[in-house]
Amino acid sequence: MSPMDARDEAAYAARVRAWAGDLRTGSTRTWRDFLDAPVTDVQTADDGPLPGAAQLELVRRLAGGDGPIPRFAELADLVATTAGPGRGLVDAPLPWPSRRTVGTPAVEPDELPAEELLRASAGVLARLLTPEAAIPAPRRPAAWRPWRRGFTLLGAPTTVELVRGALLQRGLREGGSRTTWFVLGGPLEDLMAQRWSARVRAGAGLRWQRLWRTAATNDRLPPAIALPTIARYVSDQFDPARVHVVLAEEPGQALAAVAEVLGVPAGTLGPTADVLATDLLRRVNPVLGLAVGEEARRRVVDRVWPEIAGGEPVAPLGAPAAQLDWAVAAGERMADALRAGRYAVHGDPALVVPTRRSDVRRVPDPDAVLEHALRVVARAWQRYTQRSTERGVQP
Amino acid sequence: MPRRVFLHIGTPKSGTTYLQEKLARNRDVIAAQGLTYPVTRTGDHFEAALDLVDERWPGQRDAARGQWPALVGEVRRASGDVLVSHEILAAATPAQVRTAMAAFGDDEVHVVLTARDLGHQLPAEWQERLEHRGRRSFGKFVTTVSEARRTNPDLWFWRVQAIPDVLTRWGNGLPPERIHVITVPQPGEPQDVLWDRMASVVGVDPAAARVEVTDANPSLGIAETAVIRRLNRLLVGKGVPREVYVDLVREVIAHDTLAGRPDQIRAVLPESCWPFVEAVTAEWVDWIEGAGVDVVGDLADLQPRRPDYTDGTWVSPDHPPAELVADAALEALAAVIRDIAPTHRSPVRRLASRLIRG
Amino acid sequence: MARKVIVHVGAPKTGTSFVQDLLFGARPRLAGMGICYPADRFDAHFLAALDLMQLTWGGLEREAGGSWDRLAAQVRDWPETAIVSHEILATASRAHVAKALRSLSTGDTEIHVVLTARDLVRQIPAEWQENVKHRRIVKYADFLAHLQDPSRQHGVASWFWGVQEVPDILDRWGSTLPRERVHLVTVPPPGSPPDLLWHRFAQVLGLDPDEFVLEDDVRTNASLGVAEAAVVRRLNEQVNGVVPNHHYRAIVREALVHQNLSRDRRSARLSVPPEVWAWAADLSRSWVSDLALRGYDVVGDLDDLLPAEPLPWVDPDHPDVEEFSDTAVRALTAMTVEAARLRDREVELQHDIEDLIDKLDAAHSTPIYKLKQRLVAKARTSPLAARGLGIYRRLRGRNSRST
Repeated sequence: MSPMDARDEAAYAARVRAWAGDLRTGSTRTWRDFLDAPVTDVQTADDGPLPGAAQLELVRRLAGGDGPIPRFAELADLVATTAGPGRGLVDAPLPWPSRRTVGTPAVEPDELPAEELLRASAGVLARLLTPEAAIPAPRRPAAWRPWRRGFTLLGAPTTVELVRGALLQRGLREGGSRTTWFVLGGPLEDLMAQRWSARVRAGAGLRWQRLWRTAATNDRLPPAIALPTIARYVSDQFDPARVHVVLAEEPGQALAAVAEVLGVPAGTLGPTADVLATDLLRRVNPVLGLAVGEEARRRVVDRVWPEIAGGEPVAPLGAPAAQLDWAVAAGERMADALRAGRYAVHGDPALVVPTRRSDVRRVPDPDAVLEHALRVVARAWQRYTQRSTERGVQP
Repeated sequence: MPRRVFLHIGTPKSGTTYLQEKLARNRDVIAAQGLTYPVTRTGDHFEAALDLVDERWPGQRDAARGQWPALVGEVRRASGDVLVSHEILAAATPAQVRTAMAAFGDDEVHVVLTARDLGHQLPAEWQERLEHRGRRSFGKFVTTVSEARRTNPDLWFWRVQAIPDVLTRWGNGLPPERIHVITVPQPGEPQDVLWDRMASVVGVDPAAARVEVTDANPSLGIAETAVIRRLNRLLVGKGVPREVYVDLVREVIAHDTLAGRPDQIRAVLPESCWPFVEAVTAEWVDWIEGAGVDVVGDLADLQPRRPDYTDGTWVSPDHPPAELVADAALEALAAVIRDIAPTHRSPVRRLASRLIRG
Repeated sequence: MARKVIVHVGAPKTGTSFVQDLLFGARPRLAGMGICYPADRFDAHFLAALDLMQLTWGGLEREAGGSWDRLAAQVRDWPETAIVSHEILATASRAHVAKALRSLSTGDTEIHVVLTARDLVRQIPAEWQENVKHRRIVKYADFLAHLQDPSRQHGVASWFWGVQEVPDILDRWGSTLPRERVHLVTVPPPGSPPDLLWHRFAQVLGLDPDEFVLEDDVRTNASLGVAEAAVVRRLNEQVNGVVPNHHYRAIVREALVHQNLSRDRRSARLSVPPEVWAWAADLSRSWVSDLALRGYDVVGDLDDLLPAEPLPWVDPDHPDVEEFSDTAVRALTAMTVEAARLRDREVELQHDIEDLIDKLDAAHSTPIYKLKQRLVAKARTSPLAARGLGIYRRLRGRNSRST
């Protein structure tokens, strides 16, 4: 069997570029439908390498997203020229009458697995976030008011951050020698999700399943969320009377309990760890890190990611099925230990035990992550165009 | 009334580690009952026993110098009854026994011997050797031991396991009512039966010792011992020092990893050994009955339970199923790699940081 | 005269490390001949490839940021011939290839692409072994099934074909280049003189092969046998998730596999089952027909890409049990000896720490002295402390009971 001859190859390339041109206008026509349509003389993009199937499909999905995206054609060009990072299908061609015998087999772009589209999205997001690295990190004002009540928060990382922010806003100060210790927690799945989120923000590329597998294999929860151990250590070192374990389903409840102990008004808080955002970030991390370096990546993620990727109400993830038995046992051990502690416990220790309900998702759903990725790309694009306008630069 | 000094002198592999652990963990309540189990720098009486018995024990004989007098000093300082326990005391020569007895001149000395059936002791001693770099097959071990019964009673196995010989050496000059033979119950009985028997000899309420002891020195199956034996053979000439061998092979591989494997095939004597083992046991039981010593338990416990060699379940300890050996070797390999990948800080450093923190 | 850049893009398992070691070691001499192999460390081109293709590699990618641009800058600055070589470049997508070629060119650069290729039947088991040496637990049967699945959906398959499908690699890298600048160097069949590949490769590089001889401590990539590969794969199942990547690399890949198992292969060579051989032979024949029409510069013989007679098939997923347990025990021995070596080093380090503590140990009120006192006191009752004390005493060479 001979390879596609040169004329056929040229016709294929022209058609692909034509479709890319169509998609640039915001069309959501699939490749299949586009092939059926009569050939017209459409303005095509430049003559660099052919845009990939995943890239073009990503453009098509962005066009079909929530709302119209300003300067869509420029975004389409950017996406079409962003190489798919890392491992995956190599240059999957689009279906065409003549059969290829060599190379990745053709795939209908709208039938590409979510993983491939997520790979393309990671490349695009890294590219859109790269200019953010040039912006310096904001300096946090450090006001020292020793007469204010002191608090120290430990435990579930995201809840700690949110509650901490709220309390600092109230004017309380952190730490100090007479500080009140709070160990914040909730259901074990939530603790692990927050831990996962913290680690991914710090640069890890690990999957949800792997976090659990490591914990179960070593029969050890990550130390940062081993609530009884933390509470016991602090009680032994300091005064158990000043140690409070707070167990809550949501950070708002945690804040309410903490505020009550400290005697200040509470207020509301945003949601905690967003598993979709975390699963997306773990894919973006390596690409962004290679582009701007680890330090800058951290800064960019801390500053920008919550804005563009957070805020979606998402059902919490359960423990993966393979580790469920271990998780329930670990949760029960934790609940027992908390009941036996010398410190005050607010909330029911039984809360920490993971659920066995069958209607709970136990691994991130790639299609849901992809849907979220489309939103995040749109938001990142908005920032990107704003920044380049501010800098007077063409994106 | 003179206080009593109990010398628990053996036999090795008769549950002595279990008893010593039990005593160590319940030291305080036992002391409250009037019995002292003296503290030493290593936690057990091994160094003192080694010092007395003067056996060549690689690397440790020098370190143990002076430990027997030190232990004697502890005994003298204690008020009330005292219990000394280590199973290598069974190897003491008559002269060494005299030295020991002289140290306790004013006290009422009792000799205690825990004893187990030969069907268990032979494989157990063989396994013990393997964990000390031994390389001999089980068949060879049994042949050597049985031949030595008449020709070389000084062979380690008989020196420490032959009940009449051990008790003759240690019981020289003692009235028979001060010599106690505690039989180890056959498998199937709860382990604290052995503790109850010991407690009854030394005059302690067994129920007072509430702290439990998990299986302190579990025996390995034949697939697992095959791994150790092959490893020992390949390690010859590789220059692995004693500390590393003890830590890695005895602790990490044997104790932490292989011992926990499920469904292990126990080492059982081959059919041809049986007449020999029954004859020796009969000899010993006769001697014990004739000597009038105090038997705690049941001499029937010393009868080895002969398995049914015709039902096809007996496996030669030297020919364990190859897949089991392969699995065990792989688990051991994984354990060693996990151990040398320093994912945890070394114990010495952990201790140091704990102590510095106060 | 135009600058020349030679990009050697693969394939893996065709002796590429041999070539790279040779080039790395001969950099000064090559520079004297007008040839630049820009590398400040032996894995410089590897990191550059990771950077270009935005790949993760068990954490090694953390050192790769910016390395492609640096490499490309050095290449552009060199006035004569420059060589870039790494075998994972084979799987670069057209977009990455375009970026690479663009960044290596100045106005008048003549870019050449070189691919060394070996017959498919030898490549398949070699790649599976690489997988196993990189912590994968995929069984050989599953590996073969993934490869034969036309959709290539499984990561193992898309990677394999990405780096081994000769016609596609040449098309991706060479489609914008004149055919005479795309060079296919075939690896001679087993039984050929060992330096024949180097001779062919040197021809493309424009070097006299006899002028370059490899030093002794070259990285050998000797292969594992059936039993050895099975042991490492099963070991991976046990230690994945428990041993972090950097320790795996040092202990399993380096110490166990390269220093021990590869050097002492006792079991049969890895091969392919008869039906896979037939399938691979068919595929190779279609590749050879395809390549014959392309007009690339073939150094060697296209027929070298056709598989030789098959080796006897021994299934690494069901190795002979005796062989497997022998190999496992040998591996166990090797790691025990390695542990001894590591402890020696730790004792040395502790010696040094002891010396430092001595120097600081001025007055009795120092925390160090209190530590020693507490250690002795604790040692009376704690076996762990006694062990620490034992080591401490051994290190100090003392026998007495006082501190």
